[in-house]
Amino acid sequence: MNNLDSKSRIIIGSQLQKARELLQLTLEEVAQELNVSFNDIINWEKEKTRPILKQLEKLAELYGREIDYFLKETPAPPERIEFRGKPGQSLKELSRDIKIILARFDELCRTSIEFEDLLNKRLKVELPRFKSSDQPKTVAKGLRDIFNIEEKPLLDLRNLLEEKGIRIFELPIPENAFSGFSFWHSEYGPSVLLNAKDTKGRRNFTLAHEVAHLIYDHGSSLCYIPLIFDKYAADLEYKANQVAIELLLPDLELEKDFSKRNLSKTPTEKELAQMASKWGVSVQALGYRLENLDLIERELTNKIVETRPKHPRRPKAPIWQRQLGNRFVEISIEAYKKNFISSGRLAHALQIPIRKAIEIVEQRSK
Amino acid sequence: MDINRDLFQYVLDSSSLINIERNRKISHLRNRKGAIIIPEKVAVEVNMPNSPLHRLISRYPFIVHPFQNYEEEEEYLKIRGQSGIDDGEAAAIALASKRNLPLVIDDKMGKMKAENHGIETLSWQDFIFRG
Repeated sequence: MNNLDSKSRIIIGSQLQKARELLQLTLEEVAQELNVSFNDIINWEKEKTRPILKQLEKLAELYGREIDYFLKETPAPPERIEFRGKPGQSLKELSRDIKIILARFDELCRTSIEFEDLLNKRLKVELPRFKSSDQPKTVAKGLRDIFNIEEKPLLDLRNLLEEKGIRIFELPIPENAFSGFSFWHSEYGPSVLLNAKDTKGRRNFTLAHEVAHLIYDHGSSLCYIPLIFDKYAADLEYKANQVAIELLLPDLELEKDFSKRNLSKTPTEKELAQMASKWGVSVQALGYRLENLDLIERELTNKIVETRPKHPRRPKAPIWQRQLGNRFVEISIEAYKKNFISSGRLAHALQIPIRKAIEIVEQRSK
Repeated sequence: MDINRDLFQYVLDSSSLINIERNRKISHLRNRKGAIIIPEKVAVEVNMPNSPLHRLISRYPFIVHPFQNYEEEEEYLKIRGQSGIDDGEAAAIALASKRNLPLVIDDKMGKMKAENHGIETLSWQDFIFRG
């Protein structure tokens, strides 16, 4: 450890503190992990002394941050997170691995802002806001109007939202502790994190659900959307689910599709799965919607979901590309091609080895 | 081995090491093992299992250099905090700068940063064929 007698201020204490506080780690816990004293951590955060590089690297690992997070001032994460997770859980009780995901999401948002600023291509947010008195159907229609897609299936919701200025990333959430997380950040703008472990249809639903929280101004939301909908869910969750349903499964067009398929009141799992695939939602989301529209028998969806065999599908795009999204990948490659970032930085941003990053740039240049 | 050439030492960055590997010139690195310095953070980036660079590093671990003192670490952190740069490039520039050695680097962004630090830079071809 070094006393700060030099003029330079390389490691920023407030950044160390911010990273620790987001994970709700105490000074004692961090001191124990690093095998240093409680006072050492205080002194680092107050910039009275400085950790050596190995200690700083350990802190970066512990906090889920890049080293450079501690070397410059960065935007603060949301002060308050509304926890809408699994019943009986609280934000404080979530394991450290789960909380680190929030830090990694923050790092992805920070990186995307950095690259956009280097390219002078900051995202312009064109997402409408709605009053809490606005009905979910009105909100869904408002969104469909700005996408200009009438009542067609919204298979490309992520790209459409990214074009409207929303940052969207996917990361595997340990223990499937939550489905989505969203905030409207003063610097990053509206941002959404989805559980990469969920199926495509489920991720699409979660995305629509989180967008509803954003446009209703529900605050930073960490949500667990159960596989089987809880009819008695809290008001805000219920409302976000309703917006998602109205947005992804508009009644008129859905009814037309249902009758065109000549389905009975008790369709098979396969028939529902085919229809769900067309609409870009999970079987259960579609099933509940059809039940509510009185097109299929009540409780049929729950029976199907409980007995449904799982068919894991191989994603078409590489995992890293799917999780980071097209927009982030494109701006990262553009920043590299224009010599704003190094090959190492590109590889790190895309979470792939440098060799692979160089190959991808070469392939795209052909 | 060219004795005159190996009087000098060179720091190598990931971008150049990968180019040397892709162009099947690892034997040149083997022949000049006394002249090359691979910063530890660069080694982490290029050391993929079963790759020719992995075999080189495993056989001659002394070519991998960690930071030797606080000044090198501090220089690394100063460079790492700059926009657009990552661990390997920052470590390579810091070592070349503090040890006053030329840097073999092909990454354009890293090369610009290094030259701004007053470091002499070479491409992988310069190092292999003319260095």
